[in-house]
Formats: sequence, structure tokens, C-alpha cells
Amino acid sequence: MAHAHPPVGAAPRQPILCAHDLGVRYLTRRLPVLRGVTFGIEPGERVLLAGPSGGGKSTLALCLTGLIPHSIDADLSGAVYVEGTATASAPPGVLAERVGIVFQDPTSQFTMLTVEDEVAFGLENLGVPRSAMPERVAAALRAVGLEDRATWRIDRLSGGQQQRVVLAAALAMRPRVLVLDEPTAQLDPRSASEVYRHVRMLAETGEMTLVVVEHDLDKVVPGLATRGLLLSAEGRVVADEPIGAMLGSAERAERWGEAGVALPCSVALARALGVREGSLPLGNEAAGRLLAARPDLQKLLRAAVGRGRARAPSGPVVLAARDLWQQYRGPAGHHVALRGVSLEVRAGELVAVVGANGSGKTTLLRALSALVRLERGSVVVDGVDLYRAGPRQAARLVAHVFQNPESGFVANTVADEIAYGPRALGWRTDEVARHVETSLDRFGLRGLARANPFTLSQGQKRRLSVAVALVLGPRALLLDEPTFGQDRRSAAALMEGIRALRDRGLGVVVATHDIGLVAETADRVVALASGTMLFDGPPHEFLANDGLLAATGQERPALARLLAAARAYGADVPPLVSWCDLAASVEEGEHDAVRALRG
Amino acid sequence: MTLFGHYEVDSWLRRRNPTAKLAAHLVLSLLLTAVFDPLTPLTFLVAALALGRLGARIPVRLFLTALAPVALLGASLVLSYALFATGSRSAWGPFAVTAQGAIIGLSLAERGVAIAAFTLVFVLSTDPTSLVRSLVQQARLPAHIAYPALAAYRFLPLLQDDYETIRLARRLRGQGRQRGPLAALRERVDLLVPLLVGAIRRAERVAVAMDSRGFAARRPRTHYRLTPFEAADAWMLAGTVALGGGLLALSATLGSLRLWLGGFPT
Repeated sequence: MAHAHPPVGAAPRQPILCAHDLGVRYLTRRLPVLRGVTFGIEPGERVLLAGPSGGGKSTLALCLTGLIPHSIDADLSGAVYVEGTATASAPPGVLAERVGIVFQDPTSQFTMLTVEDEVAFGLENLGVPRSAMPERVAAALRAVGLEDRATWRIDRLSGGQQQRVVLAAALAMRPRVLVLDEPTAQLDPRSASEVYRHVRMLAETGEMTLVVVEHDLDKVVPGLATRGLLLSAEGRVVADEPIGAMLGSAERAERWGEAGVALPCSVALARALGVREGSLPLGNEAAGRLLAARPDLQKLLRAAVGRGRARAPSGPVVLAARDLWQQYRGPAGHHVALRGVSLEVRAGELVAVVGANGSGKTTLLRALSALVRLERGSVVVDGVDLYRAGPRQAARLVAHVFQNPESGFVANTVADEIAYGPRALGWRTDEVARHVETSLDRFGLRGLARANPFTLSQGQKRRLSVAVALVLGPRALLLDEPTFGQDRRSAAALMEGIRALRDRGLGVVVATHDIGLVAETADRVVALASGTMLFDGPPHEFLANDGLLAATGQERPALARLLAAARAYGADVPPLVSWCDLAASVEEGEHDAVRALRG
Repeated sequence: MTLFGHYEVDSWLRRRNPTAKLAAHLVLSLLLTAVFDPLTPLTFLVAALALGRLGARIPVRLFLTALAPVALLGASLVLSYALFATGSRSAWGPFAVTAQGAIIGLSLAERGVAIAAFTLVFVLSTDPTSLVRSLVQQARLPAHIAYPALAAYRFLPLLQDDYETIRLARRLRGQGRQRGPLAALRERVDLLVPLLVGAIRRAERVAVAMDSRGFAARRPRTHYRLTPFEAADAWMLAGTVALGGGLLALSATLGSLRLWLGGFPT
């Protein structure tokens, strides 16, 4: 099955990576995840791999490294060639030297305990002489800015540093191609930028061929990706073109947007402002120049400021937490997770809790639903002190959706999962059935009633966990990283649903790294650093305070960064506008061009 | 495991070859299992404490905290032997106890504590990575067994976190309300399913990550660090044998030594 040479056309150089009519089906699934995928990548190209969740991006990444079919069982048809060698027939290990990969989850990519040992692990596997290793390890660590962490234990590093260790471990093997599979999906925004800063530095050398799987185009455009490859939900290549071409024209950008990919901020803004003629600006610099040359657009942005800002919720306080102190005790000493945090949530209010990884967000949410032991403090919901009332009352008053929806599943079917809580509380059978029916419809789970919860897609699992949390009619809803691991479109749909719940009078608390969610959806922001509350107030005040953003591991939203670039070009634009502002401004019919956004 | 995960103090014992240390540990433990009187294991215990303090610089407090549960277990052993073993009985408050039984219990308990103490010295003075490297280099343990074991060791604290998260998520769903030992047991078993599903997924991801670093290549591996077997390691092994022999001889001289040579001592 292996040809000595890949079947390619008249490419100027020989492709370094090449897929030919590639199809992949996992043994546990009925339908293939990839179908008829064909492309060639030349040395030095930097390819963005995008597409909706479940569209086979990660599978393709695994195929390019030969891990499918060597390490993961799957039916593979067609072929993938790395420098002319078919992966399926290459001896294992040979490919590891040519193609490096960085996966998403920092906790499950390490073998060794210390940084230098981990970076050296790949070299040991390849049989690199010991005398050559220290220099290669040191060079790889320098490339990711971790030369002063060589002897550190990996578990003492932050998530962002851990991902850089993985990157260094891949680089030490001196691969010709580097595949990055959503390398920053689990990191706070600041750590994410730090990882991509090093990837960009690597790209600047021009020698490395890169394949990057990413939902958030602002991370890779402009300057990193030179070409885009778009997969459909069915696992076919639906677009394969230079980045400039794909995002530069309105119709093409449309196609990427429809696939659930978040367009770069500059493109989205230009479209929102009704820029139709010519090509769309790619990147903040281009958008900045465009805005500087268009006083009409500047005026429009100025007029939009604050239009979509949430009205101050005036409902009664449904959840009041006072002076929460919590600490974990361990043999290595104790770690204070919450230091006197107080917080009120009103009916119909959405509060976003932000902070760097490990700042206490998850602990705060757990404290609000009386799941952790407090040193001090109280949580009162609807007049009931949760820590006195016991778990049964607490579960009825506060709904809590964990980051991993699976962890709370207890039943064998979706319907039983929803019915579990009401049954445990002794509701009447017909009442339980009625609530199950309503929930199935409300959360788009109709047709899945008899499915096993563990077999659902990530998005369906998340919706089920929200349905389960809400069936008991709580007063407050707590969500830990609800948009985590979802593409833009499913994340937006989920947030739409959560906003609707808020508008019906639920008090909602969301712990999140998603600064866009904060800017667009939150009525209030609570910012944590090392268990201390640094800020509690309106989002626009939080987002305008650079010191606060830095202290809590956040970055300005993409739109604010774009506006800063425009101001540097002399445009008279406000420092902060949200997409909600723009949309609201349209609603009021201020400007024809903006109205076009709706139509 | 997390209890000892972060104890990294340089010491003479820490610099010794891990495989040699493991061998020394086995020698002393095997000698101990043959001893059946109360004095001999006590001398071994004292030796272990001295070795830990002087050779591995283990704080006495850490020693005591870690050994306390074993000692407690030992105390219950003494008590049950005193109460239930065969032998002539005398009154002790309302109980009829046997001194012979108590002595057997005591020697068993001391033995357990002494072995635990040597284990502690070994664990606290040995870096897990060096142990794995040394087992591959000196004991010829295959790398495809040793390195995944190290990766699994990294998992233990993560598994602990997972367990806690699942437990809380289920409590939220109303579990943990049923009374009775059977319901409690059932809940624990139910917890294992999602925990195992998560652990297996994570293990698969790590295995794939290891392969992406060429672990599947099975070429002759090289070593970033060597764990040499040095003269000091040979001296340590010789010293271990001398120590064990010396303590047995001391006990024999004092007329206390009793060795288990098959059959149960009475």
C-alpha cells in the first residue's frame, strides 16, 4: 500500500506532509470521522486546521504524527506521507523524530517528574548519545523561555509553563514538523498568550513547518498561520486556501463563520461596521489603519459605547455569601483557597468569576453550593443558610454544573438522569414524568431520552448537566467553565440558553477563562487572585483596568486590543466597546451601515 | 504517596544507588521476618531510626508521624495476643491475659514497625526518577515497564483530585443521603466507575504522548543520567550485612535471640 513517492501535482518543492484520500473510522463508532482528505504541505508552511467540534481535527493531527494507526486503533484508508514515507508502514519511532506534537491537556502528557528529565525523555528514546543531550535540552528550554526552570518539578509549574515544557520536549527532538492541537484550550488568557508568543518566535525562524488546531483565530492570525484548512462536521476538507484569501473576502469569511470558527476580531468588526468594499482587514494593525482613515466608522464606535451594557439588575438578592474562608490541609502544609470572600447575587443577574488557574474560582463555586467545609463564613440562599440546612436543601436551592459534566452522572439513561433528583425527593410519578418531558424539550435532548449519558457528545452532556441541575427549580445556578472545550457556535448557543435562564429570574454565577463571555454576557465581574477578591463590579470597569487584568491572569478582550491599535494610528475611537454595544446600537437604528449587520 | 512526594533533602543515603538501597532494605527486612523475640526487632528499630536521622537526615517528627499508624496497629496486635493467645493467664483488671501471648504480640508488632521504619528510610531518601533509572540500568528492568510506572506515579495526586470531584458531584445529585453500611458501600463502588473511566482515558492520553516522544521505537535507549554503582554503594551493602549480623549476634549474646525456623513458637 505504501508508494515510494506521494501522489502530488507540480509542487515547487516536495511536500513535507501529505494526505491522500485519507479516511479514518474509530472501531467504536459507526461513521468515519475523516473522509477523502487530500492535501500537501510544503516545508515552512504554517497551516491552521479549523472546523466544528467533533469534525476530526484532532484525529487528523494524530494521523499526521503517525500515532494513528500505530498507537491508536482505528481503520485508516488512503495514506499519510511524512517526507515521502507512508506513516502506516514507517517503523514506530522514526516518525517521532520528524513530527512533534503538543496536545491540549497539560496534566496527561508527561512521563517524568522534572523539567529537564521530561525534555530528555524523547532523546533517550531515540538513543541520542548522552554527551549530546545536555546541550539539546538546554537549547530546547531556551526556545520556550524556561532555561531557569530546568531542575523544577513539573507539577510545581503553572499550566502555561507546563505546556511550554511539552513544546520544549517536542523541539528537543528537532522535528521538521510541529503539530499543535489546541495547545492553550485549558489555560487562562495570559498563559495562553505566553505559549503562543513562543510558538510565534519559533515560526519567525521560518524553518519549522507548523500545523495548528485552533478555535480562536485571533491567536494565529495574522503572523502565524499562512494557510487555512477547514474541515466540515462530516470530516471533509471544505476549504483549503491562503489565510489572506479566506478571510479577506466577505463571502469566504462567511463560510468559516458558518463552520463554527470564530473569525478574527478585525474581520468580524469590519463586517459588523458594514465594510463591504475591498478586502477585509486582517489583524489589528490593518483594522487600525482602516479605522484611522474612516471618521464615519469612528463616530459609529463612539456612539455605540455602553449601549448594550446590562441594566443594573434590581431583583432581590437570591444568594448571599459572607466572609468565606476555606483552606486545604496537607502534609506539606496548608493552602488557603479562599480569604474572606463576600458576594451577593441578585435574581436575574449573571456574575462572572475570573482569575488565573489556581486562584480559587472552583473552590468559590463549591463553597457557594455548600460542597466544601468552610473555616468561616456563611452562604444564604432564599433566606436559608446552606451550611445549616444540609445537602438535600442545598441541592434544591442551588444548581451546580461541574466543569466535567460526566462526574455527576448517576443513571443509565438521559431520562432517568433528569428524573433522579425529583425521585430522590419523593415527587409524584406523573409530576416527575412531566418535568422530564419539559426538560428534554427545553434542552434539545428529545430523541436522546433513552441514550446512555456517557455516550453523548460534549455539548449534549453539558446541556444534560444543566437540565439535571435545573429540574428541581433552584434559585441560583453555578457553572464552572461552561464553554470549555466547545467550538464558538456551541458555546454561543449554550450562553444564549444561560442568558434566557437569567432573564427568567435565576441568579447565575459563571467561573470562566473566557474573557469574551465576560465582556459580552456578564452583569458583574468578581475577580480572584490567590483566594482574595480583588474586584467586584461592572465588566467595563474591570476590562479597562490593565493592572487588575494582569493580576488575575486575564487579557483585554480582542476587540479592546484592536481599538488600542486603532488609537495608536490616531483614530478617535473609545478604548472599550463590546459586540453587545454594537448590536444594541444597530437595534436603535442609528446607522444604515450598522443596520446591515442584522440583515 | 503525596505524603512523601516532596521530601527532597540531600544526604549520604540519598546519594546512594537506589537499587543497592532497595537490596539493603530487602536484606534487613528478610532478617527481621525470621526473628521472633521482642529484643532483636527493637535493636533493628533503633538502628533504622539512627540510619534515618544520620544517613538520610529525616526529621524525627516526620518519622514519628509516619510510623504512628503502624505503631497503633502494633499496639492492637499486642493486646489481641495478650487476650486471645494460648498460655497461662493472670488477671489484669477484669481481663485474663497471657504474658506469653503479649510477648509474641510485642515481637510481631516491633517487627512490623521496624520494617516500616526501614521502608520509610528507603522511600524518603530515594528520588522516584533515580529509582526507575537505576532499576533499568542496574536491575535490568525493561524500560517499557519502568517508565509507564513512573508516569502512573505522577497520576496518584490527580486521581485523588478526580475522586474528590466525582464524590462532590454525586453528593450534589443527592447521593450520600442513604443510611446504612450497604448503601454506603454501594456508593463507593458506584464512584469507582467514573473514576476508572477517567483514569483509563488519562492513561491512554499519556501512552499516546509517550509514543509521540518515540517511546514506541524500542531502540537501544540511552540515558540522560547514569545511576552508577560506586564503591560507597558496595560499602553500604557490606555495612548492611554487618549491621544485620551484628544485631543478631548482640541479641544472641544477651540470650534473647529466637529465630523462626519453621513451626510456630510457643
